[in-house]
Amino acid sequence: MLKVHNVSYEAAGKKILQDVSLSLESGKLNLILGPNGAGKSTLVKIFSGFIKPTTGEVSIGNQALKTYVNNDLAKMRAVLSQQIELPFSLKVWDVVMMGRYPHFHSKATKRDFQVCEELMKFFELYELAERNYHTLSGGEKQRVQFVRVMSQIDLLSEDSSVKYLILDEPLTYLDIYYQWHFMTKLREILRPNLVIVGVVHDLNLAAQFADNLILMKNGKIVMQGPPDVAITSETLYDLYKVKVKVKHQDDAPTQLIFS
Amino acid sequence: MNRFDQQHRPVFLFLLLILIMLAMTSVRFGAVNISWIEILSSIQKWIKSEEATLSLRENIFLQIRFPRAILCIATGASLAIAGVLMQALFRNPIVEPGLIGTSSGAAFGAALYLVLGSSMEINAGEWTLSIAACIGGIIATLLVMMFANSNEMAKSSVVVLLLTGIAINSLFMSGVGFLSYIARDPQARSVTFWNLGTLSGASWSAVWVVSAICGLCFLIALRYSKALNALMLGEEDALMLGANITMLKKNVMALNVLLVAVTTAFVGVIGFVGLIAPHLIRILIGSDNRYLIIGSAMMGAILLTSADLIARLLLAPAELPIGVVTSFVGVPIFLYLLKKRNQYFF
Repeated sequence: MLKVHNVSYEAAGKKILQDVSLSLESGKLNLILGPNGAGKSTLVKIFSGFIKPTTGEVSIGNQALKTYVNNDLAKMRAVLSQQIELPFSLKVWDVVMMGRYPHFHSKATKRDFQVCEELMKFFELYELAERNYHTLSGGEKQRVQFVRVMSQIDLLSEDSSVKYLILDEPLTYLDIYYQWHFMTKLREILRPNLVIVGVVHDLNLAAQFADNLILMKNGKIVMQGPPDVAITSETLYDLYKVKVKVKHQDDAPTQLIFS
Repeated sequence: MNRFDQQHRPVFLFLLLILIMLAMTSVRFGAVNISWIEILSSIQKWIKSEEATLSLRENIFLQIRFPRAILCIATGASLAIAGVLMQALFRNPIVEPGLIGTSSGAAFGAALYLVLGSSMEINAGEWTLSIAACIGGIIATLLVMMFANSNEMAKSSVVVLLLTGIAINSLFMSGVGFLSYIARDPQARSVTFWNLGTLSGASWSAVWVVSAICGLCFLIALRYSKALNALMLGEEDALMLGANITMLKKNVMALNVLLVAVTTAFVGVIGFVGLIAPHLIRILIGSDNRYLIIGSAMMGAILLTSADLIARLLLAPAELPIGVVTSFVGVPIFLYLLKKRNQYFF
C-alpha cells in the first residue's frame, strides 16, 4: 500500500498540492490524469520521496516513508523519471545494470546479470545490449530506462514481498507500437504484490489499461475510480476543457472521439 | 561472470607498461644522462645505506631524478582522479578540477608568500610555500562552497556552484595578477613560473606527502565510483537508487580539494591534465567510473611524465615550465581522438 494523507506542497509561495489524500492498493494499475500544471509530477515525486511534502504524511507499506533507509527503499521501490539523457556514454548493459546497484556492494553477482538479461529479453531490448547509449533514439533510451527501473525491483522474480513502481510519464518518447507494447507488458508484470502508479497523458491507453484512474486539477484530486466511472464527457470537459464523446463497451476498448 | 572486470584488463596493462617505460626513460635522460649500471648500483647502495660512497651521477639519480619521477606520477594521477570526480559530480564533460576555486586559491597563497613573504618574515622552513599554497586553495574552495550554499532556493545547485566557482577563480587570479604587478622582477618571475607548474623542486618529502594523499584519495574515490555512476542518471534517479547524494557531494568535493590543494602546493598550477586524462580513458574504455578512475590515474601519470620529459629535454640543460608542455602533449592527442571517436561525447 502506497499512501499520502493530507499532503500539501508549496514551492516559492505557490500551492502546488492542496490537501491530497490517496491510497493505492497493490495488484492494481493506478494512473494519474490531469492537465499540465495539475500537480501530477509533484505528487509522484512525493510518493517517491524525492520531495518532502510541506504538510502531511507519506507511507509505504505500513511505515512512514521518511523512516526508511535510502538503500532499503531502493530495493523495493523504483522510479522512472522523465530524465533520460546521460552526460557520458555508457553501454546499454551498464545502464541497465545500474538498476541492480542497491543489491550489490562492489561487484555484480550472477543473479544481477541474470535479472538484467531476462528483463532486457522480456522488454525486447536485448539486441541493443551492447550499443552505446548515446547512439540510441529517444524512445530507445526511454525503454532502456524502463528496463533499468524494472531490474531494480526485480519484476520477474517469484519474490513475495511488496514492490512499488512509480512512473512519471513513461510513454513520452515512444511510438504507438511501443506505447501499446509497454502498457501490455505492464499488465503482464502486474501481480498481487506490486503497486504501480503512473502519470500518463494518453486517455485512450489510460481508459483501456488502468484499473484505477486518479483525476487531478489545480493541485487537488477531483475524482477517483475505474475507467468507466472516471472517464466521461463531463469529467474530461471539467479536466481539459475539451469536448469528448465517450463510448464504453463491454467487449471492446473504450472509444474516445474528440470534437 | 565478471563481464566488466576482465574486458578492460588489456588496456590497463598496456597503460601500465607505457607508464613504466616512460618513467624508466625519464630517470635516465636529462641534462645529465645516467646509465642503467649507475642506476642499479645507486639503488644497491641505497638499500645497503652506503650513501657516502655514491658518485655524482648516482646522487643525481637518487636525490633528483627518482623522486621527481615518482612525484610526476603521483601528481598526474592526483589531478586526473580529481578531474574524473569533478566531471562526474557536475555531470559535465568540460569541468576540470580547478573549477571550484582550489587551484587559483593555491596560486594566490603561493604568490602572497613569494611576493610579500620576505617582508612579512613568515617562515616555516622549506615547507612555507607549500603550506601557503595549500591554505590558499582550501580557503578559496570554502568560499565557493559557502556562497553557493547561501542561496536558499538553489541550495547545492550545480549551476550556482559552477558560477560561484568561476567568480571566485577570477577574483583570486586577479589577486595573483595584482601581486605580480607590485612585485620586483625576480619575485614576479617566480610567481609566473609557479603558475606554469614545475617539478624541479621534487624532494623525497614532497614525494611522500603527495603519494600518500594520492593513494588515500584514490581508494576513497573508488568506493564512491558506483554512486557517481548512478549520478549520471541525474540527482533524482541516483537518490532513487539508494545513493546518499548530499553526503556524496560533500565528500567528493573534499577529496577534490585535498588532491588539488596538496599537489598544487608542491608543483604549482598544472592545468589540462585533469580535464583531458579522463576523456582519453573514456574514449578507450567508456565512462564507467569504477574503471575510469583507475585508468585516468594511469593516464594522468603518463601525460605528466611525458610532459616532464619533454620539458627537461627540449632545451636541455635549461628546463621549460611543465604547464607549457602539458598542453603541447595533450592537445594534439585529444583533438585527434575527438575527431575519430566523437560519439563518446555527443
